[in-house]
Amino acid sequence: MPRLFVKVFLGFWATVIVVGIALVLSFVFTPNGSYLPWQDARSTAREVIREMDRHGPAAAARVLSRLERSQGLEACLYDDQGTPIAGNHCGTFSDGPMRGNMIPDRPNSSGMYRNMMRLPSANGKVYVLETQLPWGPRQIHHTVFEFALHWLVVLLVSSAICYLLTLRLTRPILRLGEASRQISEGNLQARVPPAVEARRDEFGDLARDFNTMAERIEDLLSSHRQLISDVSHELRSPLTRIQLAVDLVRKRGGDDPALSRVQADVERLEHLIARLLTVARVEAGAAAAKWERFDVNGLLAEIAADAQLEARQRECTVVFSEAGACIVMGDEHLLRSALENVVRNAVYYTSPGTEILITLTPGAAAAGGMMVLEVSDHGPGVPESELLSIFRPFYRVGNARDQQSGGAGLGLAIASRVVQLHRGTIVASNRPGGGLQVTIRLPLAQ
Amino acid sequence: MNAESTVERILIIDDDTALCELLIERLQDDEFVTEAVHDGVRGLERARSGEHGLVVLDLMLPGLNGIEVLRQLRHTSDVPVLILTARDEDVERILGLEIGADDYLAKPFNPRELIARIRAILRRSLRASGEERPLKAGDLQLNPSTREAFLGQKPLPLTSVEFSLLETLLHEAGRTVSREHLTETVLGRELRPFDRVIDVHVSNLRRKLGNERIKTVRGTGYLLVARPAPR
Repeated sequence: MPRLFVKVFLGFWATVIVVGIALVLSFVFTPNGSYLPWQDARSTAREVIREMDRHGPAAAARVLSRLERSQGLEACLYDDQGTPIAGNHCGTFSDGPMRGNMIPDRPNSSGMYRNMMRLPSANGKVYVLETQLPWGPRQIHHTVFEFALHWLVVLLVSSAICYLLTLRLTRPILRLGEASRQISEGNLQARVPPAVEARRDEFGDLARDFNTMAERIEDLLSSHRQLISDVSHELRSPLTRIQLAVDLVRKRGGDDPALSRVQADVERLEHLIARLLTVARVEAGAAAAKWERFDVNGLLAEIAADAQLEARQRECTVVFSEAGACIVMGDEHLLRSALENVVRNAVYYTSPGTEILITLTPGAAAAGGMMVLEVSDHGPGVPESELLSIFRPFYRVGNARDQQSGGAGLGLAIASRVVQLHRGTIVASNRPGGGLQVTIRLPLAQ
Repeated sequence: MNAESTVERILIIDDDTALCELLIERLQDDEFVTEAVHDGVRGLERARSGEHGLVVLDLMLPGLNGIEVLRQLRHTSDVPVLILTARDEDVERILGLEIGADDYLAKPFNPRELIARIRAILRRSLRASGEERPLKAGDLQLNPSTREAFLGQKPLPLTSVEFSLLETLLHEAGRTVSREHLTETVLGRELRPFDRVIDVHVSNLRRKLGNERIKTVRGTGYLLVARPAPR
């Protein structure tokens, strides 16, 4: 259950319960006198005894009858020996005055209990009036069971009310959170549901603003992507035609070395366009990355097999030491292009006939571990002062990366962006025996 | 369909007229008769005519886009299709292959490469009548002469590439066939680094066969698991 919901709910509930306890306590500790039926019973008793003193039992019986008519209360007057004197219901009060001026244990079936008052009259005689009183708050905690039942009802009712209140308050926030999480995970179509948008309060405002913002982001990204796609189309169409034209000229016997240069430049341009597009896609991809769990070990096995094909032309071998499954949370497509770039870079710069080593070590996943990937070549390496710069776009190391190398200096820049996007690190170092080692650390999926 | 009369005819569907002119000229040198169409609707109409041995289809077309042309074409025709794309979207290429294109080439391409691929595809569709004997493995049966495949009693609807792929895997049933070998025999060309065409075809075939009959041997290739025919 969401934490906010729990907090607000408990807050509401605690308040209701505390207020409830305070109310009940104030009742329980109220002095007897303030409870009206008791007052009435006492004054009724005095009246009955006064009538008895002045006019005899018949007058007392009239008062009792009036009481019964007006309030529906039954009563009986006894003398101090327990002999009934007046009242219509003395028979039902059979246990009578023997029990003294006591509050009885239980109410009868109509919710009344009996009360006995022993009072002296003005002329010194003592009478006992037994009467009914409504069941009052003094009897609230009568048995443990009733006490528990009572509180259970209070808890249930108050929790239901608090639940509904809390739901009404926190639901829009949760919906908003859900939408923004989906957008950050790459689902740009995610919106706050119309139910929240339709609210006429600050939540409604927030939801509408959020949706407007999400729409703008989606528009911007899709027009950005459209632009990339258009540019690539517009640039590549003429390149295709140039290649065809050059080929036609060649085919017709024009074997000028200049043609080879045109050909090489066309290829270089295409290479550059492809890399630039990848950079643009990585940038846009950061916002639209599709996050899912996948196995880096399997991905690397594929990349290594591909790199082996490429390496064979230079009589090199790619050695991949596997590590078993290495599950990472990320965008497989982006990570593939990142790791591919690092491995191809190594294949490119290693000396002919040497090995490229790819080593994968999984960390302990439980401790929020990182997997460590090392890609080493046996090439010229990179001057120590330039180890950081090689991750910058278009950076070229003075000694090794001349025009002949064909690379546009974007491969490692792409890799670095993608690794950062996955909250990992990428570091280059020179191996003791010569050659460059690129170390990539990526957090393992929980 | 009379293969002899249609095999050398190529249909190009691309809105770049200048490119089409150059291509016609270039393909002429290699003795292909080429026809060019510049929009999707006309292209689909011409491709359905059955007059061509191969269709070169650009994915970015005005009117009806290339993917849609291919999808509709596949309802009625299994003429080999080579798709061209200038966009950098892998999704599009893979979608094209999934719908039933035989191979793809990214623009800009080397014209020699295009011709090599055209020849490879045509070679495969000609090879159709090479072997007569049906191939069997468990409940799978292939008739190379008619290019029909059966799973149990049910006929399997396979594209031409998928048929060749299954044929190659069946020949070596129970053994791992490398991706290189598959690309060479099925697509008629060398496997390039970072080339996923064969994998897309395998995954299409796998979907049609079901039941994990084709196993991936990671980093190496694929393997067809022979299952006993159900009683």
